[in-house]
This record gives sequence, structure tokens and C-alpha cells, in this order.
Amino acid sequence: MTGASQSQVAAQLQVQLDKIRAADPFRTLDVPVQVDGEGVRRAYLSLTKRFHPNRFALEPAPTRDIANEVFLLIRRAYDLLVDDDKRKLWRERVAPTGKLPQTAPPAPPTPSPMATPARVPTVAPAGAPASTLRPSTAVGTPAPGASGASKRPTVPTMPTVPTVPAGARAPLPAGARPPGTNPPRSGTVPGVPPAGANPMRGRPSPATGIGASPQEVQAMLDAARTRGQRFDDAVAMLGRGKYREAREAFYKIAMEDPQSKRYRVQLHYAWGLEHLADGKLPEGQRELERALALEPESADIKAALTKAQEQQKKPGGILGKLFGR
Amino acid sequence: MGKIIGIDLGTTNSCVAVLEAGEPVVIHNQEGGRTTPSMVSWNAQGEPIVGAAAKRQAVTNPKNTIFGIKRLIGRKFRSREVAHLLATMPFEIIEATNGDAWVRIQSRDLSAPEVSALVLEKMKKVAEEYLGEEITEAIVTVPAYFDDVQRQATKDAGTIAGLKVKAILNEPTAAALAFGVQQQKNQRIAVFDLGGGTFDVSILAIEDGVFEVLATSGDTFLGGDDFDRAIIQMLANSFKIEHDVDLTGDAVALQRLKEASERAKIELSSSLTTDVNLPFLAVGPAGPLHLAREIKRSEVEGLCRELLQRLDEPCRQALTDAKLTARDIDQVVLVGGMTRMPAVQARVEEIFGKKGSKGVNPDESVAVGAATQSAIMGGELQEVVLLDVTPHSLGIKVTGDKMSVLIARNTTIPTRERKVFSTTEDNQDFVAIEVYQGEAALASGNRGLGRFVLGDLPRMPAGAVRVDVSFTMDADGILHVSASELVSGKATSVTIQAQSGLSEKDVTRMAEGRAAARHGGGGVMG
Repeated sequence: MTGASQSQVAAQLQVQLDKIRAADPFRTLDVPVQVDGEGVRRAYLSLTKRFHPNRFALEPAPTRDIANEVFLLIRRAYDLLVDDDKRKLWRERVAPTGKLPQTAPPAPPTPSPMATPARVPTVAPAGAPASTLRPSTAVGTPAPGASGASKRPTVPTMPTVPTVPAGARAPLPAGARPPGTNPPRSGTVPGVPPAGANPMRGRPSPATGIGASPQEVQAMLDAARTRGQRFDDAVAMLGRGKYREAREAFYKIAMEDPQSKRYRVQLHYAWGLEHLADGKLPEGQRELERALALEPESADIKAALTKAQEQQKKPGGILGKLFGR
Repeated sequence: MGKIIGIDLGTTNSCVAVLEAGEPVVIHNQEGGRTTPSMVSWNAQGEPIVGAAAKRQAVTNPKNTIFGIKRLIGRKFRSREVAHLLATMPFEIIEATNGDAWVRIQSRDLSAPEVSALVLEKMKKVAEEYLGEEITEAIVTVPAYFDDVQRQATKDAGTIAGLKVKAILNEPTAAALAFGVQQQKNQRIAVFDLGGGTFDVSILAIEDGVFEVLATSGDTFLGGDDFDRAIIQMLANSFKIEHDVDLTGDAVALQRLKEASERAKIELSSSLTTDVNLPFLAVGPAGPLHLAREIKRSEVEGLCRELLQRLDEPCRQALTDAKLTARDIDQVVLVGGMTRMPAVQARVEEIFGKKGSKGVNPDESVAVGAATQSAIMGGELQEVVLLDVTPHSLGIKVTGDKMSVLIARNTTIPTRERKVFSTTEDNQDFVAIEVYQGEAALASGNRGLGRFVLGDLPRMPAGAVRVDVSFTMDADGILHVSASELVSGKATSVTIQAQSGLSEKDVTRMAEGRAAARHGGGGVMG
């Protein structure tokens, strides 16, 4: 804004933000409780002209962020009051006349109310008892046979890691939130924990590399190389019959790169073999079925699964115990 | 602080305007043209030539003259739209290592932003020559229906050209600004923008100086070029039938046909018939072959019938989304050279029940609007403000490859929405948040914008872990996504910077290359 110093503008905006954050929609728009639809619109338009973020386009980023927040709250208040029914409900809430609202009042002026939970696709579950497999988003290269003997696994395909802006982006400005939740601690970069590590904040994501500096990208590439080595080692372990160690290694590797189908195939395969070795036939079968679902062409997995199914039917197996055969 | 110029970076022609004494003024180039062809060519020394000079030599240098680069920018090579272009463009389109559509010129491979950057550099030069001062900042316009990847690619083009892009502005909104500021009255308008390569229709409410976009729709692959192509195809076919010679393999002949078709199309907007005359177009067994024939307006309208019909659906969609009928629209603003075609004007009248207004210059209003926006951002224009919308829905992928929308299309920006999701497995350790843009019901049918992971979730049965995902789109159209687990408070966030295919390192390197070229006296020519 020409004429005013930058910090003055930021301070003015902050004052506005504090004022309306705690206010009901009527106070936010600066309208009387008896206002009609026209009046709501007039007030909104006038406030838009003063507080739309484009007015502050030449200000530094932190000031623009405050302007964004202010406008979001103004817009939210407008959405709540421009509709005749919602306005009536809010009027009752703010200045009750004894007439109870017919329906539940709309959400307070916060960012959008919580919707019904939906389900998010996942990658390998962690050490869980079997549950249905959720296909993941990833498309990986087909895994080599688990024997690892004849086929040398190719270097795992790294998802393209574009070099991205060095340095972190400004964290999300704090806005009003539904009561009872913590403000998201905005880490500057997303990340996947290396096996056994702590919170993911501060680790760039191997999948996209978003938010990583060039040095971090290089570190990720190095990690991927050792990951390839570790993968080979795990396959070797599997071949030697060390199912549990192989499974744990595959799990760590899959965690680092959830997108790669290859790692998960090996994980489920190893897990299946581990269960079978422990005598847990149903669990073993389930894991092998998952592996097969990801990699239908694998002869090794099919062979292991067939063997498991035969074992199931043999006398002395579960059926044998149940029916005394 | 230097001036901020407004650039309409068009598929066929570009235009630049700037504020002078508070009024937006269109700047003409050295040849006196108020628009400049968006064409780039390279001479034998490998120096870029942009504009009318490039257009003039297009016929003799078809493989090294690029036009319509806006049709490639931000697109993958293996997309339906690019597949269409492969057969008809005389220059070579190739697939880059990241899957983007690039062009190959004189054995050099160039990304689309790099080529657009040369056009922007030319417009920058035009402005600097007129104003006598260096220009470093600009507002660049894009079709309203461009997705985030296309917008980012356009921004990158600006950076490479040595311009700080202060805003990416939607073309119909810019035109509405030019129109409405001039008219100064409250009204509802529809902006019908049919340019060289893209079609946008936006519905706006202009009230008390606030220009509020209610809805926008369009087709990023429908424009004047398609109308030209229909004529080219017809001429090539009739030539084949008459002389048994296939012109489509001959780059020079194609270029000549293209120019003749474009000229004929423009002519037929004011005449009922016109002549096409191309001597020595090809060589047959008996000697040289010429093309000389008459084309009637009715014939062209017949050829373009399907294209004209494609104009309907976006208009109806926009009206529906705006919750209005055609009768509620006070004026229809025509933008883009193609709106001069009588058949297009007839369609407008049919859809909206009224004739389009020709109050603003259809070739210049977008640049004028961009310059006006620079006045709003700079504080010189206090009485007007723009409220734009995001044209495509934004959401994340959930089980079954379904798209769960967080921000619906045509939501006013800036905006924030959140939704709560749960895990699908017992003891699930992490969730993958994949962001998509588009209207398809399946996430994989939409444009992927980015992905991150929220890990270290508490070990709980499936469905018990709740993750709150929040989308904030700011006024610049940048999307911030954050996810937090509600019990432990674990959180992470990311700013989705749509990957345009060029990394920031690439863009910086290209920008430095162009800057060095300019300082060495080798800027764009033409």
C-alpha cells in the first residue's frame, strides 16, 4: 500500500485478524444482527475491497499471509450469513429471542467442519495381523522371483526426484481451528521416517522430494543406493531361509519407498514364508495371497502358496485336528 | 519501482499493455503492430527471431519455426491433445525424459516454457523500447481453464525471460476488468473468449467495484487453429482428389496452406466468398501444380460445424455452476479474434439469447485488463478488486482410486477446506496424501499435483486413527496442504508447487542463459 510503511500495514492487518478471529459472523462483517441479505452482500463487498489479498500483493510474504487469513474469515462469515436460513439461525445464536432454531446451528466461523471420515489408501501395514489388502497408488516394476538365485534384481527404480526449491516454504499461517485439536505443527518438509526413527518432520520425502534442498536430494539418492544393496541382502537372506530377518529388512525398505510395488511384494512374500515356518498356515496363506495379488506372474509365490494350501489339507493340519482325520 | 506490464501471451498473437497516467495503454511494436505473432524461429546463426519477422519466413523455414507453443505448454507428450498435433505441425514435437512435450529445432531440444519465454522476452523488449526503461515485472495471463501445471509452466517461462511474474491472471477475468471498469455499472456478464488455441467462458457479477467470478468453464484445446485446420484439411483433400498428390507430407506446402487458410477464414468474416491462390504448390508428374479456387463462407461453416457445437457445453456448464440462466446475463463480452466469425457470433446469440457486445477490442482487452490488475495490485486503483475462482476441483485419492474433493471447482479463492480421513488397516503406520486436480470420479483420471506421507501414526485398529487434511489455496492460486493426526498431534505440511516438468535449477539455468544472451547484445530479434 503506497504511503504506509510495510510494518504498519502488517500491524493493521494483525489487529483486524485478532478482532475477527474471535468474533461471530455479524461482528466480522460489521453488520447489525437484524441485517438482511442485501446488507450482508454490501458489507462483504466493501470489506473485500479493503482486505482482498490482491491489495497487499506487493507486501512481503508474511504480511500477505495475514491478509489471506483475514480474507478467509471474512469470506466464511459471508457464506454463513448470506443464506437466509443460516442467517436466522446465527441471529438466534448471537441474540437469542427465546425461539429455538429448528435445525442444528451451522459450524462456528472456522475453516470447514469435519466431514464424514473417508478412507485413505495405504501401503504395507506394520506388523499387523492379516486384513484385507488395500491396493495402493503405486505402480512399481515387477519384482523378481523371491529366490534371488538366478535373477539379479535390477536397481530399484527411484521415483523421479525433481530438484526443488532450496529452503523451506513459509509454514501455514495459524487459523482458527475446531476446538480440541492441536494446531498442525507445520514441519517444513514432509518425510518418511527411516526405520525406527522419530517423527518425520524435517525429513524430505523420498517419493517426491518436495521441500528438499539439493544436498538433501543427494542424501536421498545415496540412501536409495544403499537401499538397493539392502534389498539385495534381504533377498539373499530369504534365499537362506532367514525369513524373519528378511521380512524386517523388507519392511524397513518398503517404508522408505511406499510407492514401490516391488518392495511390498517381497515383504508379503517373506512374511508369508515366515508365518508358514512358524506353523501359522492361515496367516501365511494370506500374506502369500497378497504378494500374488501384487505380482500375479510370480512362479515362486504361486509355488509357495500351493505348498501352503496342500499343507492345510494334510492330516495333522488344522482340518485334521478338527475332524480327527 | 519500475512499471509492471500486462502481457496477454496468446496462442497465435500476444499483446502488451502498461499503465500510463493511470490509463492502460496498448504498446505497439516497432512495425506498428498492436499485437505480435507468437511465433519463434531461428536463423542460421542459431539466434532467435520472434514475431512478425518469424512469421514472414515461416514458409521458407517451416521445420524451424514454432507457432502455437501454448498448445504444448504444461502437457505430456502422451496426451490426447498432443497426439492430435503431431500429424499437423510442421516442426518436430518430441517426448522429453520426464514425459513432457518438447520441440526439436536444429538438433536442439527445447521445452515449451523456453519457447514461450522467447515470446515473453519479445513483448518485454517491445515495452522497454516504448517506455525507455528496463522492465522486470509483469502480469501474464493464461486461459482460465489452465490447470496448475500449465500455470506453473507459464510462470517458468516468465522467469526464463527475465521477468518476475507478479500474478498469473485468467484471461476472461482480465477482459471483464477491461470491459467493466470502462462501463462502471453493476451488472452480470458472461465473457466468451475464443482465441487461437483455447476457449474460456466465465460468468461474473460486477457489483460496487468488485468483479466476482461466479463460474468458469472452457476447453483448453479449442480455438482458431482448429478452424484453420478444418480448412487446411479440406484443401489438402480436394488437392489430393484432383491431382493425386498428398500435401500433408510437405512441410513447405503445409505452411503455405496454413497461411492461406487463416487468411481465407479472416476474409470470410466480412465477405461471403474469397479466393485461395497458391501457385507452384506442388510438383506432379506433368509439371508444377497450382491451387486456385474459391471458398464460400457457407462451406467453411459446414466444415466447422462440429467445432461450433463444442462451444455450447462449456457455456451451459458455466451457467449451471453459477446458478444462473442465460436471461440473467446482462451482457456477453466477446474476446479473441475468432469471435469476429459470424458463425461464432450466431452461436453466442443462440446460447445467451442476446448479441455479443463488441464494446472492447477483442484482440487487446486481455492485455488491457492485465495492466489494470497491475494498477489494483500497485494500489493506484482502489475502487476495484477481483475475486477469482479455482477452475478445477482439488482433492486427494482415497481407497478404490476414488477422488475425494476438498475444494470444489469454482470456489472463490483464497479458500480453505478440511476433511477428516481414517486408516484402512489395523496398526497402519502411515498414510499417503496424493493431491489431484480435476473432475473425474477416479483419482487417476485427474491431474496429479503432488504427494507426501504422514508417518509415525499411533498403532490403532483400522478406522480409529483420524487424519485431518487441510487444503488452503491462496489468492495467487498456490495450494498448501497439511495433514495432522488428531490424537497424537503429529503433523506435516507441504506447499504444492505444481511440477511443471522443469526443475527450479533448470529454470534458473535457462534464465541466466537468456540474461547473458541479452547482455551480449543477442536478445530476441524481430
